[in-house]
Amino acid sequence: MKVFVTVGHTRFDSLFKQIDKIHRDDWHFISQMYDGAYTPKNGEHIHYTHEIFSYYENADVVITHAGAGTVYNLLEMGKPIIVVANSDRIDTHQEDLIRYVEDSRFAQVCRNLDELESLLSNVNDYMAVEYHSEPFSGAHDISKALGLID
Amino acid sequence: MYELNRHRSDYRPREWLYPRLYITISRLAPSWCQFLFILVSLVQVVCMHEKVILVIYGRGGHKEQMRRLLNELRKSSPNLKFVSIADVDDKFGSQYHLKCPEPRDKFNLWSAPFKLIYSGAVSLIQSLRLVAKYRITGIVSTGPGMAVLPSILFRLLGKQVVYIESWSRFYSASLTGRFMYCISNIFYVQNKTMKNIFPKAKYTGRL
Repeated sequence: MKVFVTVGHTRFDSLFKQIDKIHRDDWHFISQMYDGAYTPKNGEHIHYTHEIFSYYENADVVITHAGAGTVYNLLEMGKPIIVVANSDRIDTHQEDLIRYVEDSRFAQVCRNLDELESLLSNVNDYMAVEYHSEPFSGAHDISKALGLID
Repeated sequence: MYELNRHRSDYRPREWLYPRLYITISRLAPSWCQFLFILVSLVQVVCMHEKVILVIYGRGGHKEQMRRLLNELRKSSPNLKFVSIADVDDKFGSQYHLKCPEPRDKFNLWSAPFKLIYSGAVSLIQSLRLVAKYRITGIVSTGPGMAVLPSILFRLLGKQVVYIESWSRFYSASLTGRFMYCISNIFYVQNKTMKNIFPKAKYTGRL
């Protein structure tokens, strides 16, 4: 199983430390780090890249921080994902998104890093609900309000 | 005669020329304020023909939302021209991009307020520079906090301010959102549940 780990534009060293505790021969990890101090030793690691979509495509499952941009992009692709709450951060605004993903059953969520390995082995059995969102239709009104169109 | 006098006292001169906020200020403030407003308008009419908008966004999800919003705006106005202030280098084809410091420290509670004030002040100065250089009709921002001070400036100059509350908000408001709800002309939320917190907000789907 090919696992891609992404933390977007944030620091999440404890996630990479947890990844290093997992020892499974049939799991191959690629980790995308940002400005964290800890370099993951399990599998390969890369820095943030604009070709991140090709990493999403190639992975069987993506472990992601609860950043909305990354999560929505992955859900729109229909990728199996595990959304991890970032316990290193002081603010809790990601909690809203985690609750939404969990309540709607779009993906597995991980609040306690010790459970990550069991969530990973459960990936193929988890029945996720397909994600749909109402596309934004306010652009015309905004253009009008700003005098860009008549 | 009486009819005429009553009419005259009700008459507010030139209101149609200026936005309501300016009228409010001109009643409170001395004439230099009016002079400044007229000067800015004159400079804009004489020197700058092309209309642009100012977009303000931050790293991560805020940037992704702005990327999607700009794509949508280009569909409805293909000749869209904009200038930008952001804490990242990605400028999405902006005419003029200014980089400001990151407004939040997500890992340190104590330095957070100082960073916010610093970032706000820098973006305010940057938006003043842009106002002097371009004919800007308004601000569109997807957050975070550095949008607040430039937005207040733009309202004072009688321009439009559009704010889109983050798509990661479902049950609680952001601090920036609370401020911008009071400041902006149009305020969007991207999740229906947020209408409970911002009743006057618009919901038209998610970016």
